[in-house]
Amino acid sequence: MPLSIERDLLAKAAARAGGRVEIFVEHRQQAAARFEAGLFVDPSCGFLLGAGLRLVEAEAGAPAWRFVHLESPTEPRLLQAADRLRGGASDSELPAPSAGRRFRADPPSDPAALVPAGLPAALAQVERGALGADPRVSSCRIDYEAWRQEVLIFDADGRLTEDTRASVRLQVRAAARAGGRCEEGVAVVSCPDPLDLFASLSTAEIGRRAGDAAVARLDAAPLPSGEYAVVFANRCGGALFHEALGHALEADVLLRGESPYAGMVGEPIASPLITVADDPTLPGRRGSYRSDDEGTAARRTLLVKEGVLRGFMNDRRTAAALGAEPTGNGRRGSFRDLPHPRMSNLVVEGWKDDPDEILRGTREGLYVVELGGARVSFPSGEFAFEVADGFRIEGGRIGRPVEGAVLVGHGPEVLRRIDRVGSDFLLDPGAGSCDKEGQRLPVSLGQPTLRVSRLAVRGTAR
Amino acid sequence: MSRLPEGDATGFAQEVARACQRRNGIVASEVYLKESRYRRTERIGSGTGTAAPAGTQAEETGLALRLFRAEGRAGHAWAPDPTDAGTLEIAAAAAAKLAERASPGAADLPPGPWEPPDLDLYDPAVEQEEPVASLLARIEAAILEEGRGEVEVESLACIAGGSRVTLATSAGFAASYRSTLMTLILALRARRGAESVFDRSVIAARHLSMLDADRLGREAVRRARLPLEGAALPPGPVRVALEPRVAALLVEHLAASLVEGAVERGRSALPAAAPKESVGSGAITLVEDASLARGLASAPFDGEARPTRPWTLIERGTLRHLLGARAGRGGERVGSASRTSFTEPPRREPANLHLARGERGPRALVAEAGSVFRVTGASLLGRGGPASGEVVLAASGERLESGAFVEGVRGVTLVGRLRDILAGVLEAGNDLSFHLRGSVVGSPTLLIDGMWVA
Repeated sequence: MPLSIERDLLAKAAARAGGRVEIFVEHRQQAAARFEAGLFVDPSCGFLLGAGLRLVEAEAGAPAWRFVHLESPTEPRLLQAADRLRGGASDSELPAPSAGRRFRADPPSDPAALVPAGLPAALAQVERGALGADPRVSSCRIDYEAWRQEVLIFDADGRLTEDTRASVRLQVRAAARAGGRCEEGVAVVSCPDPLDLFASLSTAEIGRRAGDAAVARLDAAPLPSGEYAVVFANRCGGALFHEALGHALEADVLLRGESPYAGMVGEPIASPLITVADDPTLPGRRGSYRSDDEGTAARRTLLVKEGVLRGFMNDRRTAAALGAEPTGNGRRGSFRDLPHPRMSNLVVEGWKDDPDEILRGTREGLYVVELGGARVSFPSGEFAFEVADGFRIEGGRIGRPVEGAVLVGHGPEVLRRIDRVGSDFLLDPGAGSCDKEGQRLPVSLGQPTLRVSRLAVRGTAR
Repeated sequence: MSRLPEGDATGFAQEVARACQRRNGIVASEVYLKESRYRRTERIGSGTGTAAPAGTQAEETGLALRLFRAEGRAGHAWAPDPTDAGTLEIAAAAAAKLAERASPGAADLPPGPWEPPDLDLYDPAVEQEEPVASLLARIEAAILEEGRGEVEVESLACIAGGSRVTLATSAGFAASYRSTLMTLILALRARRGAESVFDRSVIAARHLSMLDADRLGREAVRRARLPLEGAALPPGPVRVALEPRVAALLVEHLAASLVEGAVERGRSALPAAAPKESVGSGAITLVEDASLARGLASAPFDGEARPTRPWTLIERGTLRHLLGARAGRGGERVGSASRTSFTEPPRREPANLHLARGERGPRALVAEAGSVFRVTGASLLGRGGPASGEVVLAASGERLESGAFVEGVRGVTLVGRLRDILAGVLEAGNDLSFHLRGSVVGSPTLLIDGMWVA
């Protein structure tokens, strides 16, 4: 049992608040460090314990909704927070946390364990891998972060759910210089356990990938603006679908009247080659969990089946408003935040095309390996994506890298223009985070190689 | 507000600092306490007659320890509930363990006693519910009056509250300060016929009296309305006037390029940047100043208990200092070490980094500038990292001829290399304002040649 559970205390606090109350308790340990120029610096670790209380359904005459969160949720503090929810004593002080029954991490654990003793030496090897990739690689910076989260959810029906999530992430940024030009390449690895971080890739290999990416960009040239056939590599990680489709299928966006897919369930919205699901049950991914942050069991939610819209992602609030079932997508950044419908691991299923043949069959176009910054407007569905890593396609082969290209389009139109879908489905290596409503959450993305027959590209060739 | 009685926080921190220094192998210690309390107030959908005030309250208290071993090895650990002995012991043991793993030479030992100044960062009105609610109501009224049925409020949110920071070192420094901050988030929707555009702006201030409700409401309506029926611009070079909140994006992008080591490590968008070298036009003066009275990122002492003061990084286009470098052999480090929370170790990041104001107002700037795209809204698309220096903005605003409105503009992708943009700054306006981004950055309106419509 990760947290000592005091069910009676939760029930007492919920009853005190009046109406139907949900209580979310979180114990979180996290750590971070940086490695640069041969130095292991700023190692940091710590832990938080807190609770968020939400009035899900008020008694007659009570405010429409209220939310209170607090650290160190001892009995008197929880009860007073419940009073605040009820609408009384809104400005009163919470009692000192040292008094009264408290939730505890059980047994107390050492947050420094998230920074293993062998980490500095391993990161030094990563740096050597990056610097050894090419003489033009001039430097390397490595950011390490790790967290472990244990949650308890006492839902408005009195059910108690618990879950544990964890993630370790290494981001390697190598810089290459040549002829007065500097470019940066990035490699990311992620897994649930610090001890498994280097299990799939050697330390040197992770560094070398970042170095190679930086060197490749040194040769990048601007692209003229125009319409291109655009092939998205499976390594692209589904970011286009996450931003231009996934967010529009979160039901709070629908309820705000901002989804371009409102009223289209059962209708075709994409190429018949496209099937998309959100799946928090995938083992060991950044967006995986057994239960969402409202206590709803995680499940795979089919969003688009062979081009036809099948449904939206709901939390409990949006499900109630829409007369639908919660889909296990109610997530929150921490105990300080209200839950919203959020993606977990968004996957675009593979089809049967040979990815190499997709490239060979594209005489001229753009090959996108990684997308960068994005802007998507709802409800219009218009988007702009920066191409962080991309190449010209010339005569069916990958050509010179491009710089400064921006993909511009209309989400629903682009989804219909997907004419080739590869058989090489790939989940991202764990780079993903998603920001919404000021809350950052870990997510994963996956897709096969696929092609959009025609897409506007704004280039910087002058 | 506090779990620790007023005055006791510094005494408590000093006591913990002394106790930590007695741990085996520890030569110095630093104790950082932060207590904060904020209230979120939101008015939702007032333009549609469904206004409902909603509230959230938040408290946060935590402690961070930095323990130093010999040779400048430091470990940082943090925890909530500073008054609990068990929690303190877990944090101290973790910080000591991490200090063993850190590389030598990466941290300076903490300073001894000195007296910090008062920077007027605290306004009790910000912590009260009624004055804040009244301000929101007046902003909403101004928006609805100016919007005349064409612009409505989707949501109007305010996060307002205060915090107290206490810092003590084993060398004898101990001080505490209170501050308040209110952040307004205005989400407006403008409609004309079948067209609908969304505008979001964020405004922050330390004191309630710094916010003029009527002006804020009318400005927000102006920006929201401009892109309606907006045209695109043809690809090619364009003269732009970036409003302060847009120009602040460039300052944010520039900051990473001016950190010590960024040039040597190939991470600067200004690859030739070196003190005394030219990095921009003569209209560019860039200052870092965490000692500004009422400044959004100001603090009487920084995250390492050192004094804050202004640093000129770029003076009329010439680079003077790199952030975090030592000013002269053995001198103090340039810039302040900031902490956004007790959960992060102090980092030398820009605080109130801003381009200095010019002499003329923004109207005068564009009146004599011929054809200008005035950018009133933008989001930074460019990832590129600081090394690429490529800036890509998704922009909207208005096209002006000799200062007169010609048409609204939207859906424009603006691109340029940071060094070209800095070299192309023709003039800075006198309307400097500060904005909450990843850090606090400021700029006046900038008139620039050197950007392209892609």
